[in-house]
Amino acid sequence: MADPAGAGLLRALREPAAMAGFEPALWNLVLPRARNAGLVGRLGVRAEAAGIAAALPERVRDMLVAAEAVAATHDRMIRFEVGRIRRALDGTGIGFTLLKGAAYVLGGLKAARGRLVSDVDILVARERIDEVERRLIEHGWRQEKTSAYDQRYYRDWMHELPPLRHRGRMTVVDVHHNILPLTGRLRIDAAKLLAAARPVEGLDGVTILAPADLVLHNVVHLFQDGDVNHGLRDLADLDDLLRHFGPEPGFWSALAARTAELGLGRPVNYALRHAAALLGTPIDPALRAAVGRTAAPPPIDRLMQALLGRALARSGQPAPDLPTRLAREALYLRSHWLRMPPVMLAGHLARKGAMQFLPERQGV
Amino acid sequence: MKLGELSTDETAAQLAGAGLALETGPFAVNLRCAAPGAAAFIRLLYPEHRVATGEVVHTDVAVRPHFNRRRPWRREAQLHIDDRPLMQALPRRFAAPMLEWGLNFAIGSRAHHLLILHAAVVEKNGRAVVMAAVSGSGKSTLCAALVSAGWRLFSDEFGLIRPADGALMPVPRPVSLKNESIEVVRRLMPAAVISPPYHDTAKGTLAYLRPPDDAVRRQFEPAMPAWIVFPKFRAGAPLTATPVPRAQAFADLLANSMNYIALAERGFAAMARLVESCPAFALEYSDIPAAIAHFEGLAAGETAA
Repeated sequence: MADPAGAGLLRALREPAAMAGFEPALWNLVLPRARNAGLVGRLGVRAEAAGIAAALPERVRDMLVAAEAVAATHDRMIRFEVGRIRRALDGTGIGFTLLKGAAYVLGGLKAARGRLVSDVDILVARERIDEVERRLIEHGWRQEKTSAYDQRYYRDWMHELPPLRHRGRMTVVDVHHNILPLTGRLRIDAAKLLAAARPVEGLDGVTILAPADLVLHNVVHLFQDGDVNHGLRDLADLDDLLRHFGPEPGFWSALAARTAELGLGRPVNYALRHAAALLGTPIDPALRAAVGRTAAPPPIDRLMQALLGRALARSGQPAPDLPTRLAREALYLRSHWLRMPPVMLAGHLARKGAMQFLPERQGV
Repeated sequence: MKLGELSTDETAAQLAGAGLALETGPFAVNLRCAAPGAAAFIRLLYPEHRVATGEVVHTDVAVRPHFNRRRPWRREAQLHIDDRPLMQALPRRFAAPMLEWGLNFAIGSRAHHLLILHAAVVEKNGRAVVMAAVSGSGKSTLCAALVSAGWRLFSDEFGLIRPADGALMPVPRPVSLKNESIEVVRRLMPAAVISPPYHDTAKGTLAYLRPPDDAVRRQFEPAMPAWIVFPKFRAGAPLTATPVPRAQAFADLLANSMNYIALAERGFAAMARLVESCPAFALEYSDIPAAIAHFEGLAAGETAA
């Protein structure tokens, strides 16, 4: 089934110079899709880098400028929030490691430019997480998810606290102690991530994940966590990360070693293949070959490729067609399958299903 | 091509199909709505506006029938911006004005290449007045009254400031009149084209005043701001114009800005330039002719503001 909007958006990301030749009718498909996928700012950054921004129609430029202004606002907000988290933890000696968008912003990565970041994700040592939570609550953040089930879901099973929202600024901090759930099939020793994290200049106690770990966290989030709603945006982040760190000496071998060490060959395989196929991301052939050897048996591998390909290319489609909806559902179920043992999963999904039919309430 | 040159049937066919691309000031928006009455509404209010078929549009605004699963007998319509639903579904008789609300949303939440103030703007002799106020302060009525006195309509809703030079950009669209102001404006402008009233909206009864042809023809002519006014209608009050210090004007405009934060330094520079280049005053009034006379005095340079 043809999807000219999605195809146009991928082309714009892959070959930014091609945007100079886009017809108005194509822009009218690509811009709404890019907006719904959270990628308008990124198009602006890439058009600028390709030196063709001035050649774009005036109304397109308006929208790219507007999107970059919003992204710049988020950038400032993230820097401010990181300062406030530091202040809340002042005197405890607890350091924290920035993940995802906040890491891209404070690390000065290209992936940050034009990207929308809504939450600050931080990683802390598990044994200090209660203290971190207490400190944040003392400093104005509070729990959003107050039902007993949600609390238990996060605290006992997941790799993060329930989201903490600041009551004045309404910003959200997600405090993680790992990048994968406690109940999942794949386990990662978070101490290794913290040990390898790199300091942020001028901000004592604040670190960002090492380059290989930043890449792996992106991969885990996208290909393990089942969060394909922002799939293409996350894949574009991966593309930016690999283009940014790829030329650094030793990056690819460190990524290969880390992938093997943490047992993430299969999701990395999916991620690299899709990044290369959809966005033309340059990939080290040795790493590609190494993770290719960890691929799932051919029928499962082909099915996963098809599901992911569909879900990613249709990111931001407002009324997805049936195959896309099925692909999204299948990936969502898969992520939960990977996240918890079957009996726990059955209970969780039954409960979430039933919740749709009940009015909102608390403390269940 | 002007919208008024399309027949009602053609307009309806475009609105019900791929959409009718409409240019209004610095924006182009694709409108879609198959509801009966939408074509007549658009043709009544936008006859002088240019149809931008085949051009890039900033936003797609669609009003579609909505099926309420819990109350299936209700005939409702849902506003969609770029194919995503926005706001609650409303009774289908509001389908046509929902296009106006969609246009407002599209401008107010997206146009971050401009500094956006929640303000009415009119111009005379190349000098524009920015009337910033919250809804319900009589801003639209005063705006319509000044238009009736020959001031050029920029907008009754958006003060759009181009950061590069501080100029105000016109976006002449229908003026939304609420409740008693509909009759007030009808008396002031007996020849004005006003849409049928829509009763029982969230703001009471609403009707739309067609922008003067001249304002639409000159919609690409910006103007520099000359005065900042914070109007307040108070029944029975004599007209008073109290100067507002610059810092206070800055703060009050900030409260009426929709994207000051997003524009960061550019927003600050544009706002600072505005308050430094224009005197600001709080205008309390009840008598419309007296208010018009006050503004005429400003334009003629008689009143020291």
